[in-house]
Order: sequence, then C-alpha cells, then structure tokens
Amino acid sequence: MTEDDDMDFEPTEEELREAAALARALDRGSADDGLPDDAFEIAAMLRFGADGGELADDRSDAILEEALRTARPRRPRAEKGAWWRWLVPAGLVTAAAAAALIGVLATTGPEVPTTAAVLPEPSSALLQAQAAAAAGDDPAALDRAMAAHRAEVMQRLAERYER
Amino acid sequence: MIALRRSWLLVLWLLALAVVGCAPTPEAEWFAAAQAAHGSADGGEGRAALEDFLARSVPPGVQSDDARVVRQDAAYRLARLMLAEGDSEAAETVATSALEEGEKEDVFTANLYVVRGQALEALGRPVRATMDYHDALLINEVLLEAALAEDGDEE
Repeated sequence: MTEDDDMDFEPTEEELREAAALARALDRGSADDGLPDDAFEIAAMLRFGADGGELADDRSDAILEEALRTARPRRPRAEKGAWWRWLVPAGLVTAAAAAALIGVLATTGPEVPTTAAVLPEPSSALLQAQAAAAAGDDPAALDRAMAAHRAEVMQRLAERYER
Repeated sequence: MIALRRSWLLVLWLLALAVVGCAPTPEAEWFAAAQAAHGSADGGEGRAALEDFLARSVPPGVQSDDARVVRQDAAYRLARLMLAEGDSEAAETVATSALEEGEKEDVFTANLYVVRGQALEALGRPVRATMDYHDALLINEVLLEAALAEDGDEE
C-alpha cells in the first residue's frame, strides 16, 4: 500500500467529525464533546505555540459579537402608571389634611347645642298612669308606660349626638 | 420597593385615621351608657348600673337640658328600685338630688315628685308626700291637657 493508495480512501464519518471538532478547537480554544482528549491536547499545544494563547483582535470581536447576540435580552421593567407616581404625595397630602382637621377639632372641642332637643311628647296613657301613681295607685303601670317613652326619648337623643 | 413600603405606611396611617374618625364621641358614649344602665335594670341588676351611670360626669358637649332629662330618668328608675328593695331613705335622697338639677314641666320631673312622694310616704312623712304628689299632679295636668288637645286635633 502506497501513500497514494492511502489518499484514495474516503474518510469515515467519525474521522470527519473528529476533524471538524479539531478545527473548531484550534479556532476557538475550546473543545466539543466529539473531540478525543489527546487530539484536544495536541490542538491546545499547537494553538498555544502559535500565539501564546492570545486572542486575535478580530477573533475577540467575533466572540464578543456572538456573546451579545446569544445573550438573553433583559426583560424591560414594567412601566409604572402615572397614578402610582402620584399616590405617595397625594396620600401624604390627604393624611396631613386629615391630621390638621383632627387637630382643629381637638382644640376647639365639641359643639354644644344651644337649645334642648325636641323630644317625643308623652302619650295620654303614660300621663294617666302617672296621675294614678300620684293618687296612690300601683306605679307598675307608670313603669311600663315609661319604658316605651324612654326608648323613644333615648333614640332621639342618641341621633342628636351621634357623629 | 421603598415606594411600596411608604404606600403601606400610608394605608396604615389612613386606617388609623378612619378608626379615630369612626370612634364614638364622648357624648354618644354617655347616651349609650345610659341605655346600657336601663338595660341592666330590665335584667334585674339595675341598681349598681344606674348608680354607676349617675356617678359619671356629663360630657361637655351635651346640652344641659338634654343631660337633665337623661339623668332624672335614670334617678327615677334607681329610686323605684330602691323603694322596691325597701330602701326608702336612699330613694328619697336620690330623687331630691335629681330634682336639684332642675325642674321643668315635663314627665321626668313629675316622675321624680311621684317617687319621692312614695318614699316619704314609706318613711312616715305623709304631709311632705302629699305635697310632692300635688306638685306631680300640677305638671301632669298641664301635660295631659296638651296631650288631649293634640289627640283632639288628630281626630
């Protein structure tokens, strides 16, 4: 078998794959999985012997360009609405106004009505029970009639003084 | 993040203001205490509750005649309970003290004269009792005439 004979053989698929991997290793300085360890060591030595491991400018630019191209783009921050920017100052102004109002109310005190409340009139049944009690009858009837009248009076007064 | 924390503080502050704003006034609280005391009296434990209520000072925001009505009614109720327990002297004292807060031609003042008359009668002082009954009937007559006139108008 001569050298020519050797050249006539078609390379196998495995040889082609290894050759391509070696070429990439020489070119980039990093190995693929398909490259045998000894071949990668040889490639590394060859590459290091040529330029001391220094990247050429054009290669450095190409790697940077590739890194930038393949890098995952940063997700843009959600734009905050205008209402959000105004919430804090608007809230602070509201709170300050409320605090001032409470302060004013606290210093001035409650407003006292100048006249007595207009209360429900007692029923004639209540007044008759009262007259009977004053005449010496059992006051239980007066107590019962007062319970109903009292409820109406307290309701009226509570409404007058509720906030 | 800081804005978020600030907004939470703001929400808490506004909530605090809302709580303060919704809190009952001393006046409303006082009326609620009167109603609670009468409620206790209905349940048979009224004497202490009514005494406690009468010992409370009236909030400055309550109009004086409104306060008188509430206090005289509570005093009438307390005196009635005292009489029922046989404590006529205490009943007479409570009624007298309540009448000193002011007398008006209304059902509350008239009730106090009635209950004080009953206490004086129980204490063996019929003349004084009769005078109180008389005062009660004088007020009652005025009120009854007004009530009957109103009933007549409605018919």
